[in-house]
Amino acid sequence: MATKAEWVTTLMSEHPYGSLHSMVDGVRTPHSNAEHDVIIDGWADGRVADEARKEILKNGGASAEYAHFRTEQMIDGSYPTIGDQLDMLYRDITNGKFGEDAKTSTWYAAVKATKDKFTKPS
Amino acid sequence: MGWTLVQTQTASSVSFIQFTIDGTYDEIMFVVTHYRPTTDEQELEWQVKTSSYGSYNRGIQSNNYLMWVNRGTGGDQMSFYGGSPWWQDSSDAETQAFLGGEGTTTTGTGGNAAQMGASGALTFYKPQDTTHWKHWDAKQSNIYTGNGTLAQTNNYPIYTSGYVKEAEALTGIRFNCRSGSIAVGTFSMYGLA
Repeated sequence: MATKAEWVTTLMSEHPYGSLHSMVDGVRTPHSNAEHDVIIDGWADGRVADEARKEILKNGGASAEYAHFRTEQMIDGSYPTIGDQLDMLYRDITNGKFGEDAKTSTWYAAVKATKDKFTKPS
Repeated sequence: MGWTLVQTQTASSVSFIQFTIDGTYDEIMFVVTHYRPTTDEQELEWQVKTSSYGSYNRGIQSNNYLMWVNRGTGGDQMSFYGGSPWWQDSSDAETQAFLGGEGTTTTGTGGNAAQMGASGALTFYKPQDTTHWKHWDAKQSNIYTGNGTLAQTNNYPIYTSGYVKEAEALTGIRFNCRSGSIAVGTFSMYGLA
């Protein structure tokens, strides 16, 4: 991963002074060098954050932002659906993988009652 | 009387776009169509300034939900999207995400970048009020390419809402990419008297 300073160098190479413009109420204006520096600094922060996110997505991690990236993994379909996960749990309990007591749980009884009422055609 | 078009600005490789907000309208709405960043995956964000704070870094409290379904795998969700800055605490004073940036288009077969982008609308309620914090909400529709392939090109709507934690009048709004320029996009401001 590139450092922020490296990103600043890269972005300055891609966007030399005089190349960046703003648009305010319809008027397009080139940025001063001081404004240019502030913008490049902000963009570099964004790139560093992007790379950190991609690194965690690729290799895992435990940063404070992990919950965010974990959510994105779910978007990509890494996890089974919640419904499928619950179905797996139900089948495991039915097959005794959590012991016989699990079959007396409130959750199992409620799901089983619905399954027994609406029996799936064989 | 319905919404009045106040101003339209067309972005073409600009670092940000700003609108002046005055007290003419009770509600204002910004409609952005076919936004596309210069750099893949860079979201469009916004911040505001107020009558006595000239910098675009006001406290924003926000939240969101995201809807998504993958017809191929059967995966679906309607959930909170944890990615900052799609939500934030008012003490963060970050720019607030509004539109998703399209995914990888420079490689693979995800689609022609020129045909992709995002559109949405952002509404402020009583932006000129001098007593209350300023409520806003936004909706967006984007095109996202997970890995640069057409098979993973999809759409996921994100709805955001919140308030600017300022009791004084909002006087300006700035739109910018999280990083890099706004390649294209049409930004229109409407007012409701």
